[in-house]
Amino acid sequence: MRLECDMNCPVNKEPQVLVDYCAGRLDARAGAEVKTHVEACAACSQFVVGQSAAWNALDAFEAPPVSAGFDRKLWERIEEAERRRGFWAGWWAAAFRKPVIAFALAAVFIIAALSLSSTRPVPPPAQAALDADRMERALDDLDMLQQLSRLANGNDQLAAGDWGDM
Amino acid sequence: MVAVAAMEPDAELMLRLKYGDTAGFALLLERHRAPVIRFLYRMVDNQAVAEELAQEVFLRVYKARESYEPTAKFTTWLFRIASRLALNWLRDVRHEKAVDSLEAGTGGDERARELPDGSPTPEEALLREARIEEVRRAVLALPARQRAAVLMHKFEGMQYSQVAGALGLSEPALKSMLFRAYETLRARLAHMG
Repeated sequence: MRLECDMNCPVNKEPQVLVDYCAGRLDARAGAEVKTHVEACAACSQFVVGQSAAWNALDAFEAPPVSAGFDRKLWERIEEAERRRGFWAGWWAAAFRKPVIAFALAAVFIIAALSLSSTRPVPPPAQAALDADRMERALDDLDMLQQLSRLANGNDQLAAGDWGDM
Repeated sequence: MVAVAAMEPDAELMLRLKYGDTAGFALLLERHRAPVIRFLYRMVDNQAVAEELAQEVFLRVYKARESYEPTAKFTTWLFRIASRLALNWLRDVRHEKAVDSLEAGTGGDERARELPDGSPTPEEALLREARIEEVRRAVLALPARQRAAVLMHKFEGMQYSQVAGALGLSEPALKSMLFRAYETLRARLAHMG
């Protein structure tokens, strides 16, 4: 950033001062000091010519005018944002202004939490296999009991004297 | 309200808005609408996008009314919002936007060239057109943050402290960045003097 001029050149301490000089943003005293220096310094003089040309050329980069409906569109967006904000703010305010609604909300949350915690968990696969095994054994036992029952009924008939061909 | 009366007019309008006076916001909009859109247009090189981003800037200003504290100059705060939105937009479209189109001269917004000019002859009009295009390309070729710094410094006449505040830089860092940016612009535009 050092300019190629005298090492004692004041603008070497802060080269930005030449940009300010070209932009006309120095106060009268500082501007006069830089002007005196620039007139005597070839490097600074060359810098000032280039910077002034670039600075003035930039003015050609104009911007188009603002669209006619810009403000109307903005106010519509603001109203929409306010409406949305107002709805939620009003809802919460109403809910907490009336204790009945606040208690009702709290009750709903508590019931929901309790019903979630009391839901029976789904048995793991090992547990499910064990239950099927038990069921099968119970069915076998039931089948055996039915056979014994039939045998017992037959014995009763014999004991009652139903001898038939005997 | 004594402190409010002593502060800058824009900050006072923001505080009036904070206490429900929307007329204050209308005044702020009237005062800053054009500079913000101009800045955004030169940043993104597209008027429709610039106006869309400007809508977002002013919407954010309005929404921030309740938490607003006049710790910095209003313009610094406003351009901080505008710069961030523009830089984010440029970052998001960086891969989509073909630099080739810029170099080929197909980029840019035609509306910028619809401005009335005083050139009486077609030759002068063409020369003026070429000059505008060259300047536009030189500015758009700058890295985005350097471009933002130049636009605020050159076109909006903002002080170093304000531009530094808007870009979140220290003042020496900003001066160094600006010096580099003007160095690049001198290399491309000095012959136009």
